[in-house]
Amino acid sequence: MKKTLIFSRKSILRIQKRQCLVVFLAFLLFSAAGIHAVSAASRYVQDADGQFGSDEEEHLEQECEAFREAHGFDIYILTVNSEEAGGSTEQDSRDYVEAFTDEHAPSGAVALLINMDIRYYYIDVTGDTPLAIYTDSRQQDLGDEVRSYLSSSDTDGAAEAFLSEAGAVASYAENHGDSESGEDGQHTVGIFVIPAVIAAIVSLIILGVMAGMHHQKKEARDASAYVTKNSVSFPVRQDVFISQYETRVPVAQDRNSSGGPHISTHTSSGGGTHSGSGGHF
Amino acid sequence: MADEEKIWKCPSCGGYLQWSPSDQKLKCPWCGSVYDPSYFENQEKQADQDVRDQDYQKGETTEEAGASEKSTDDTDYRPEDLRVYRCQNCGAEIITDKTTAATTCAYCGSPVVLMEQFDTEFRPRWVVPFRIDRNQVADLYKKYVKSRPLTPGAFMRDAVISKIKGVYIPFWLYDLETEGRAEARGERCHTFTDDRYIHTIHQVFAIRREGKLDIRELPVDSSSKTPDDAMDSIEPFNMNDRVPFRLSYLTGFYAERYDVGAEECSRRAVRRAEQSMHEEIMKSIAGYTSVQILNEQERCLPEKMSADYALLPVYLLSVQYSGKNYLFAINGQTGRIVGDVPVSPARAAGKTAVIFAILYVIGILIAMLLF
Repeated sequence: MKKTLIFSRKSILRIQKRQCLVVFLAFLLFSAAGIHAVSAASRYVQDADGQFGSDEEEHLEQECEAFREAHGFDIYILTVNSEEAGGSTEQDSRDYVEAFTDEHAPSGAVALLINMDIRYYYIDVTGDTPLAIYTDSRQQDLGDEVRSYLSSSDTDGAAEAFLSEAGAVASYAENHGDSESGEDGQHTVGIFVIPAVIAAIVSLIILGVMAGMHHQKKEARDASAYVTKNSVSFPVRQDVFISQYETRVPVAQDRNSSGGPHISTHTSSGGGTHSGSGGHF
Repeated sequence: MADEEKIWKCPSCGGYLQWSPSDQKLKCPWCGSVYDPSYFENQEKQADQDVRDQDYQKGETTEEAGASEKSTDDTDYRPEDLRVYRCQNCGAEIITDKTTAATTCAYCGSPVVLMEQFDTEFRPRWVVPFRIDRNQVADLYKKYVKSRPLTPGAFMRDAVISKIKGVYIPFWLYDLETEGRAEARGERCHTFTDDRYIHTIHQVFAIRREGKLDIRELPVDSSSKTPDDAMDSIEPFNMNDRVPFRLSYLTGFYAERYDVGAEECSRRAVRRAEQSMHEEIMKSIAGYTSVQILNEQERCLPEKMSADYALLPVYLLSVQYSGKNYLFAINGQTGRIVGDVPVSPARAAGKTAVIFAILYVIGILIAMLLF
C-alpha cells in the first residue's frame, strides 16, 4: 500500500527554518572564507601576526598599490611572529623578509618586517632602483620614523609612517636624479664625462711638467760643491735632555658613514643583493 | 811694440794656432800640427814682459779712431763703452767693448788677444782651459733643445747653432772660512696604543751646535755682461783642472776681463758660504721628530777670505725669438748646459691635444669595463 507523506504546516515551517539556518550558516562560512580570501589575495601586506584589522589592511594594501604605480617598484609590509613565520631571532627575521622579496619582487622592492614577539623591526631593500634611493642614511631615517610608532605598539601607525616616508624619499630621489640606478644617467657620466675630466687634468699636469723643463736657470744658494772635504767640524755638539711629557687621544670608534649616498649591501641566501637596517623597539 | 804675430803661429806652416779642447794643446787648423803650450814658453815670457812694460797696442775710443759705433763681437753698447784696435794680421779695425780681452778679427778670422786687458790688476792668476770642443758643444746643444718637448723649431736650425761662441768668463775664486752656531729645541716622540687611547711620549732636548767649514775656490762671476743665474746654473767647475794663466789658452776663443770687483762679488760668495754652514748645522741635528731653531748665526771670517782672479770656459749662445733674447750657457769643461727655452704655443697645444685624446680613449675603455 502506498503511503502518502503528509506534512503539516508546522513541519513545513520547521523545515523552512532549518533551510534558512543552513543558508545563513553557509553565508557566514563563505563570508569568512571571503574575508580570508581577501586576506589571502593581499599582495603587499602580509599580516601573519594579525596586527592589522581588515580595514587597516585593505587601506594599507591600497596605499602600497599606489606606491607601486607611482614609483615603479614594490613596497611590502610584513608582520611575523616566532611560531608561524619570521623565526625567533633577528637573523631569522631578516632571512625571512629577504627570501620573501627575492620570491615576490625579483625586480626590486622595499619592505618593512615587524616581529612583535621579539619586538624587532627590519627594513629590507633590494633591486637596482630601490638600492639607489634608499641609502644607509635614508634607511636610518625610515627606521627612526617606524620605531617611534612601534615603541607604543602602534603597528598600523608604523606601517602608515613607513609608507609615507618611503614614498616621500622615493619622490625626492626621483626629482633629484638619485633613482637612476646606474643604468642610464650614471652610465653616461661614468663612461664619457669622468674620463674626459681625468684626461684633461692629467694632460694639463703633463703640460705643466713639460713647460717646467724649459726653465732651469736659477741662482746658486749654497756652496756645497766647494766645501773642502773633511773641513766641516762641530767642536761644540750638545743634546741635553730637559723634560718629558705625554699626550693622548681617544682611539677613534669605527662608525659607518651616515651621510651622503653611501649604501652597504650584501647577498641574501636567495642570491639577491640586499641592503637593510633594523633594530629593537 | 810686441811682435804679437809670432806668439801663436804654427812653426810648420805659419798658420794661427788655436787652443784645441780635445787635444788640450795648441793646434794648427791648417796643417793639424799640435804643440804643447810650453813650446812657446819664451814667447809667453816675452808677452808677460811686454805687458809689464806696457808695450802693447792700446785701444782707442771710437771717437779717437773715427770708427763706426757698432762692435764687431755682436754686442750692442754705447759708443763710450767701445774700444777700437787694429788687427795685426790684416790691419782691419776691431771694435770691441772695453772689457773684451780676446776675440777674432771679423775680416781675416785670426785670433786676437788684447794685451791691454791683462795689464796689472786685470791679469788672471788661473785659467781652466776648454775641454769641450765645438763639435761636442753643438751636439750638446741640439740634445738639450730637443729634450725640451715644446721648443720652437727656430732653436734647432744649424744657422743658430753656428753662432755658439766659446768665451773665457772672468770669475773671482774665493777661499772662505765660515763659522756657525745654533741653539734649538728638539723633540723625540714615540707612540703606543692601548684599548682606549693613543699615547704619545714627548722627550724634549736642548740642542747646541758650534762649528766651522772651509770653502775653496768658490767661483763668482765677475762680468756684468753675463747673468749670474746662468753662470751659477752651469756649476760646478772642477778646479783641479786649473792651470797658471797663459795667453796661449785664449787663442781661438773670446775672453772678457772683469768689471765687477772682488769686494762687490764677495757678498754673493759670503751668502752662499753661510747658506752651506746653515745646511751643515741642520744636518748635524738629526734624530728628532721636530726641531725648533731658537737662535742661529753664521758668518764668514773676513781675515780668512781671499780671492783669485781666474778665467773659466763657457760657451754662450744668444737666440732672438719673438722679440726676446734667450741665452744658453754651456760649461766648457763639463758640458753642463742650461738655458731658458721658450714654449711654442702651437707645439704645446698640439701635444696636449694628443695626450688628451690618448688618455680619453684609454679612460673610456677602462670605464666601459668597470661600468
